[in-house]
Amino acid sequence: MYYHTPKVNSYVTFVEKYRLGIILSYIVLTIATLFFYRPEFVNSDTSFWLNESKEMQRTQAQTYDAKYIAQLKLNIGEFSDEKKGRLNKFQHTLEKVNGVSHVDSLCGSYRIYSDGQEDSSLVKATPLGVMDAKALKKFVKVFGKDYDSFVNANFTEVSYFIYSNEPIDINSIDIPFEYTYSEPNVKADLSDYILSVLVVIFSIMLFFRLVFHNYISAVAGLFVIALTMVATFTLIYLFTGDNQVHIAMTLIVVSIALIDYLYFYYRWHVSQYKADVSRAMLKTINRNIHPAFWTSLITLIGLGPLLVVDSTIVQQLSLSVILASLFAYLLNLTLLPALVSYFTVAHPKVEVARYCYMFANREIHYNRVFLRYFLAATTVVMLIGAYQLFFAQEKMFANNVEKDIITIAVPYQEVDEALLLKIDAFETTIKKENSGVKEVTSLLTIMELFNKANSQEDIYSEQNFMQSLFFLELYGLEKDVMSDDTLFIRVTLDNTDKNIIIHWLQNYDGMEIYFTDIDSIIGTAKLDKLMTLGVSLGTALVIIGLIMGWIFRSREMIFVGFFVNAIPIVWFGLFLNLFSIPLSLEVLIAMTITVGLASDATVHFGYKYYRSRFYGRTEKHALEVMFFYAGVPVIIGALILMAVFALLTLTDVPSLQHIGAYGAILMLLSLLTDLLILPVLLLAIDKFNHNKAERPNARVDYNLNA
Amino acid sequence: MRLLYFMTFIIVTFSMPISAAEKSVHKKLPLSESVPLLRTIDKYALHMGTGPIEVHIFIDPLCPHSKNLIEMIADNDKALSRNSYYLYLYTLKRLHSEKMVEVIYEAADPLTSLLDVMARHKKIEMKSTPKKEIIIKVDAIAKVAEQLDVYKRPYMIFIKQPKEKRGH
Repeated sequence: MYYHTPKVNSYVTFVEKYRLGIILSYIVLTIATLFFYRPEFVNSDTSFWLNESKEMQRTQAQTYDAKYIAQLKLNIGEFSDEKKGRLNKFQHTLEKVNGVSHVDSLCGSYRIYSDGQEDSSLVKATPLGVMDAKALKKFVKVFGKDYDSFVNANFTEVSYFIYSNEPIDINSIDIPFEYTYSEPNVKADLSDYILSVLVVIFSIMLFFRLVFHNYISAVAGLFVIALTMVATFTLIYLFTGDNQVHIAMTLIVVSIALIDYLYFYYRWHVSQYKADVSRAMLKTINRNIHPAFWTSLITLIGLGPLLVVDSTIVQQLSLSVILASLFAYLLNLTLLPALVSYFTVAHPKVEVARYCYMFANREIHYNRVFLRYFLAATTVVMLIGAYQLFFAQEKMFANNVEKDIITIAVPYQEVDEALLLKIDAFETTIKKENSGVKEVTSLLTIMELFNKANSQEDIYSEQNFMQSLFFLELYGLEKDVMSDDTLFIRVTLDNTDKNIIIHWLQNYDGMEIYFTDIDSIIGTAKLDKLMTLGVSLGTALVIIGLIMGWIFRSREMIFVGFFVNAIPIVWFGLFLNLFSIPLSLEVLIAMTITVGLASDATVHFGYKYYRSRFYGRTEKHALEVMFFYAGVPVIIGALILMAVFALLTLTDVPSLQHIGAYGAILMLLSLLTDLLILPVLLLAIDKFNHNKAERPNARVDYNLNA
Repeated sequence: MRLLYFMTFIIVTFSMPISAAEKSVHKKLPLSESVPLLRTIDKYALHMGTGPIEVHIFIDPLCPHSKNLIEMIADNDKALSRNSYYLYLYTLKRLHSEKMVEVIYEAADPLTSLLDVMARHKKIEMKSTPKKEIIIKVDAIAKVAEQLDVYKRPYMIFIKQPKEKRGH
């Protein structure tokens, strides 16, 4: 319980006696670990979502290939014959790139026409690329609707849609014009990872130097973080057999290990203001051993059940938090004391600690009405989120696209009138019910072009569609729209939320549909898993709340534990919803970090507050003690992590940019919750006044019982 | 002025049937009617391809569109494996290709001769004395073509085996 002070003298003596052995053992163990475990760092969440996807399993069960579709937009300036020639040549270059199955573009499209007008049934199909620039512009002007995706109105921008089995390395292709490319690189370069490591090291060194005026704090911190990282990912590998580590997932370990380390180091540091280094060591262990144990237990019990959830992403995220928390706890109790026992602190005073009084003075007079309004607003946002989670998942996280393509496969037995009518109904309905669907390209579309070219009006006459099909095959144009048993349909989107279209397609019952592009399959996985992710998160928060209540023997703490963890996530969820930010692994990682840190903060804050109140401190005094011993490490840690996350937004790696932006925002929300809401909630549920008379003007003595 | 109205009336009145004739609507006979007709002449057709779908094509050996089509089919293994082609030589009056039709039918291998003319653009000797059986062939094809309202060259009719999967 929070009022017990464990006796750890013999343990401290043991650590001091065998400190070199402890340090060397850890170093040897870590090096040995790195010999048999080599993680593969990736910066794309594609493989994680694909593993999750039921649609991918359905698609693979039908032996359909799922393709990556990348959009390459070229700024060509004024269109001319010379530029058209270069575009034609570039089309061939793209088609020859390893892994590319086909390329949709203006030059790759066909003009379908009848040469002999009414004298002949012969229909011709020639690539638009063979037309001269002037004729091509004129042609596209007349039939613009079909080519909008490939070229803009003034012919200065052309787009290539590249279908490939693997993501292509765009840097290896000689591109003749300025361009923008839609797909990020999948594999992280070593330099990307080194850069993010340097950002972490730089931020920790700088902040620790500024706050603690020494280097040992940073060196010991980096030591603890590095060893926690190796141990965590090695154990994840042993549990899951997967050596792929998402580059942003390492930040979970950095965040949790750093904050855990700060609780221990900070106590050792400031305790030297009034005590010698040995006593400071004793203090840091006997004051942190229990709350830090509870934080690890909370993550274990709170997130442990998520390990059985059928989702690699949920498993990896929860394992990262649980293992990072356990290893950080172990290292802070063994390696950290062994390391710092070689040093003493010359400047034990921490300047930022003075701001604790400011918080304590203001929050003691908190406004109950405002608190109620805030909690009510949070509850309303949470309920709206829960409603969307259960009844309108596709609206929860938008996936707004300017121009995009969804490809689907439809199995068929025979090309006949019934099939064509089904496709026609599909095309009509999807366009009617989704304004963002610009075009649907299918066997029917191309057959209609052949049919029109042949001046035949009714495609549904068997002779007409068989004739169209005959020409389609004769010109070899059928391979993009059909195989012997499957139709391939391309849905072109324009300025819309792709999730809504994906959801619509998933629920369309007019014909059997299989998604065949990776991006849409990932979209379906996100929509499918949203409920699992949301319910997992909600369950974890409830369990965390329940354990808080048990630790502090207070029913009200269940509510505090739940809300303090939920508040940053709920408001961050609203932020994502309002700004139409799509769900990604980076978002989930940032949320996971917040849960890990918020539960830590709740236990440490609660421990200090309850303990002070138990030993007769006033509410204000208890707040000061709480801010001094638990608030300062949280502030320092959050500021470092915000700096790390903010710096990551400056990198060239999209994944790190995202985690940087989301992490910085969530860290700020988490810090504000810890500093402004959690203390007020602890005051609001404080029942010590009912039992004991308050002692006004009590003397502040942090080292007595805090 | 009355004369002008009268003249206009006469011109409009007499031009109406001409326009109607020009815009005559051609509609393919339903297969239930066209297939029995085709079966009467399919023995006279030149055969290409081995596929399950029958494509009956009326062509004029001197028609450029027919030539284009035959050229594309002859060079296309996939088209030959997916469909069976029944080629009927049916002349267009304006091309005066009757003699060419006789020469092709008279050849030892009429299909090779047809492909020489239409796909390989070879010049062949035009000496021929029409034999009775060739005249019967040509007349039979022409008779069925008229019944089928074959107004284009090439003109195609497709016959698919019921529930037969395309390409198998």
